[in-house]
Amino acid sequence: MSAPGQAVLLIGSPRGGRSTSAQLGEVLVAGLKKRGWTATTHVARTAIANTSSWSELERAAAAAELVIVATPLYVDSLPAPLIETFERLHALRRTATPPQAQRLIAVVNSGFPEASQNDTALAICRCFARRAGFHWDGGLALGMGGALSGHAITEHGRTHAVAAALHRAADELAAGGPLSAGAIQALARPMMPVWLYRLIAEVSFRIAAWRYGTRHLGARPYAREDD
Amino acid sequence: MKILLIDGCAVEQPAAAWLAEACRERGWSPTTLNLRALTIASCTGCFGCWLRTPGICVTDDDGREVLKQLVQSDGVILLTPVTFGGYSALLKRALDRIIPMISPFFSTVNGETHHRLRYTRQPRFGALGLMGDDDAVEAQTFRTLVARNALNWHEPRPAVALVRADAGATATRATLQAAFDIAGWK
Repeated sequence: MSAPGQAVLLIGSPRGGRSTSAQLGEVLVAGLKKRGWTATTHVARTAIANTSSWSELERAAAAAELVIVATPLYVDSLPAPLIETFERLHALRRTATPPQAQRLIAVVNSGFPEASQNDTALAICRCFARRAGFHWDGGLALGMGGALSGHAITEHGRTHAVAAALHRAADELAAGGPLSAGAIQALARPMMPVWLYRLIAEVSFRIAAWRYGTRHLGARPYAREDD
Repeated sequence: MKILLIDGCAVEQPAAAWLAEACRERGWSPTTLNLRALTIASCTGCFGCWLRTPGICVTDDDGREVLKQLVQSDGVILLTPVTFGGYSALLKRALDRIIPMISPFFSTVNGETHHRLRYTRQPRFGALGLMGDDDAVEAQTFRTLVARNALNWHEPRPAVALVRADAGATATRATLQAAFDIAGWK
């Protein structure tokens, strides 16, 4: 077991602390804290919009032994504020590389049932890590992210497998190692059959729209005359 | 063909003009949207464009105009510096705002879950990536990203071209023409 270190949780979701990404990242951080680690949490959207928030992120990222990126999948990639954060951190680190070795991992979730749809976003995180001088310690992918929305990730009920996979990942990171194939596969395992997830998601969309008073979800406001 | 070129380079690049020239050489009518000159806020992830005002983002800024022009074009080509194997933040901010183009409901494409299209006509899709060096991993990641976007776009053959940012006009135009041929763009 390596000595307790300092971690940074960087949340890519524009929804910040209310997001599924934040929930996933916080479970990892809680696992590290149990082993004596300290951690700070930063939201990419806030950091790029606010000078003092950016300074806090910059300082924390320079001092951290481990950076955890927790983000949703946006259009097969990362949300724009997270990419801007990567661009800025990369620019900084070209001139001032921290003296200590630093590790970076990412956990990407999406509303699609297949966890593999997050692979390109993880590849982008890996490219960032390499360019910015972090050692890539692996990426976790979660599908069916909509099933976690509004539900705490606990060791009981339908989120128990997610919690178990994250606890295992936190143990591995605290021990100084990279994420194992076992932890990655455990988080990627579907929480329910694909057909059931799709059915629940589509019914949930219809109920939410009905609550807003929206009736025509298939509207085509910008259609061409020949469409 | 009415082609929309979306320029997501934070600094003006000569490749934007070469891309437009390559389109004109094919007899197409290109229009360039320079994202540096537009005001586009980040997507907030509220799903309002699916559930409250279907097809229209709830944020009223230039992002709406980008989507409108995109939907009404015959083809869309992205221009971006290859950034960690993906798109620049400037371009991505605009792309994150085009999800009103798709429906919240699902369909199956190549055995995977994707969203249904909102419109019956879908523009062709392609990208020109400008590489700062010859990083093979980033080049492959970029190609994969364009292919993944194309799946969600229900575009069977995206046109993807990668050149060095310092490649020059002749090489860039030749790479683009080859990409259009491979993708079968007429």
